[in-house]
Amino acid sequence: MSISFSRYVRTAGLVGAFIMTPYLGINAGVVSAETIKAQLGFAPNVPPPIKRTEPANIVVNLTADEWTAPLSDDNNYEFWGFNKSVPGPMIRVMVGDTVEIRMKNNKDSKESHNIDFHAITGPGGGASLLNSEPGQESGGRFKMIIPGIFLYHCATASPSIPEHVANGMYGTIIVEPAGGLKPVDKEFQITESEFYTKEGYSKGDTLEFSYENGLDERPSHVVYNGHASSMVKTPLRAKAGETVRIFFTNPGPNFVDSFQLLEQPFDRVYTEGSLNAPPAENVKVAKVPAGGAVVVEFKVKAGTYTFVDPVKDRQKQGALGLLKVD
Amino acid sequence: MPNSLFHNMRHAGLISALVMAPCLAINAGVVSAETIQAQLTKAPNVPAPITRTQPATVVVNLEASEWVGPISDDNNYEFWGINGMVPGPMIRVMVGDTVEIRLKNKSGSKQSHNLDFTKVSGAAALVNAEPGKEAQITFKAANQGVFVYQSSTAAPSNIQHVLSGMHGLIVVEPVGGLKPVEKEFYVMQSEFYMKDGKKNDTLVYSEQKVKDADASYIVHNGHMTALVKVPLRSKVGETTRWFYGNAGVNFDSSWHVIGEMLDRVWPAGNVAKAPLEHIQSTLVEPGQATIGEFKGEMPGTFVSVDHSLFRTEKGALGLLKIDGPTNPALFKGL
Repeated sequence: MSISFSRYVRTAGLVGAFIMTPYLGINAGVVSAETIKAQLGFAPNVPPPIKRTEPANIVVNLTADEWTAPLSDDNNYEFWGFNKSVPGPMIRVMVGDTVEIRMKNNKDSKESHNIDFHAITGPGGGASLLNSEPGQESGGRFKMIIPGIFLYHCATASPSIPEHVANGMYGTIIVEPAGGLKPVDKEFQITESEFYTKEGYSKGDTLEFSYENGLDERPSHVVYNGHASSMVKTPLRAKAGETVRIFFTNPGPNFVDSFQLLEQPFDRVYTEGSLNAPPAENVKVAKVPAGGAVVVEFKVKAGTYTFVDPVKDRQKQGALGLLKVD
Repeated sequence: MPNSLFHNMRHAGLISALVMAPCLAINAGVVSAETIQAQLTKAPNVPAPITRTQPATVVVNLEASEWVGPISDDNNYEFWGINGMVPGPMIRVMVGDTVEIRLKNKSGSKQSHNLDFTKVSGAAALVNAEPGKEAQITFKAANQGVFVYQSSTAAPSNIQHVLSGMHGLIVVEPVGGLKPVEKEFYVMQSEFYMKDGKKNDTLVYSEQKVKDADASYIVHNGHMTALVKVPLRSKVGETTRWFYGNAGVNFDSSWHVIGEMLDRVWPAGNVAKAPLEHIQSTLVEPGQATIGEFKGEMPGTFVSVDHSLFRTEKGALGLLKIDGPTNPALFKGL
């Protein structure tokens, strides 16, 4: 008990900035897990690695919103998303943690929204517990029993599940294995997703969702991190000799993605996001199923690197990004 | 030798219902393998696991036919399939078995039909039957895993045969069998391409839509709502094993079970390799099949999908109902 208590205090110190309630209630001889407010990472940034060694209660606050913003340099789109970001914020926890999700739906929303967490074990990945009507809030408490990198997304049936995903309602949760991931120099997140818009609009217009084009799997945009040139205008940055880790998520809604670095193969790819198996090495293209994710790692030299989805026209539609190495 | 004979007899007893000829002919000192009639099942059912440890000769009776049946609640389609079902029956053998396929083509068929088992044998293994005729092929099950068998008849096109329903799964178990689990399911994703029509029409195959990859239906187990109307069932604590095939021909399937994680996946059904663990969605390419397993932790309805989500609107989904006590430490509303 004394060892565990002292370790607890040390850990609590390390993550002091994030502690909501340093909840040391000793109850019938049991030291309760601490309760921590999740630090959220907005793409391409990721939350810092977990330094704790004991499970905690993590509180995650998410808000569903509908808003108009640029999808490309030419056009706006009415996004639906979490915390006014596409992709939604990245959440980082540890296996054994209990995650408390509080899901608010903005009072100005036209739709009801929910969340299906691929990291949650239980019906709908929590979607029915995390369903909120406009202006309402819902919540649930879930134990993370399986490590990995997982998609979360809205799965509201009205007007249709794919429409909610096609409009931007997705993000990534990392469940670190016990002992954490091996430290690297730089970590980023990239989400590749398609947008299906109606034809006949011109420059400056706000584009409209097309259910037909979604069914036909004919996107107008295939983008990294929610915008057709986000990672070209603001390249990722690293220094020569650093090892870079990218958490790559594919919410679809339709395509199986291929993730490629044109200048060199990835040193390590954790296939289908499985962190338990030894990674594949020296991989040119990582193929990622829809609703899946992958972790890639590679050491960089000075220069500019280009990320693409090499399939068909996807680079032209926006699936292109840069990494500048000084 | 007496040991092996004893073994053979014991297993012959266990599977007596399936034994065609407990053929124990001792010939020049060699005990012949027993000859067994394959148990064939309609999806989502799976034949009983292999309990033998010695190879056998397995006889598989298949019949190709062409019939009109429902693809959805709204429309019919002229299916071409095996034993009157789409996907075709599941076949289960053991590595080293001698497999004897007897393919009948129903009289009245307009097409000749063949089936290709090359992936199982590791060498060309094709059997072709003209309408009203029967043909036979014998091959060794050299490769272990789960494989798609399909028609590759050239007229009118091998693609049309596959897309009309001539496909199914064959499991080749390793010696000693796969590890036992509580429940096993057979699910196959099939694409259908038809000219547009009205409600209640029997829709007609469209080659143009195949070329455009513009699928009319993408279904699990041969009908748009096959596994919605009759969900799969299991209990909390049970491990379910899924043999999940993708007949293709155009789309990779991203198989995912909403609310559950695949504890183990053997990509491309390769059981000779260690499985991947903790997989949210797994890639199953056209013409491939995979094996996934998970233990049900919570009661409720779980939806198996191709996570290319617009395809769920075309039928690429099915339900699993898990019964049992809830676990509030794992999953609870606030």
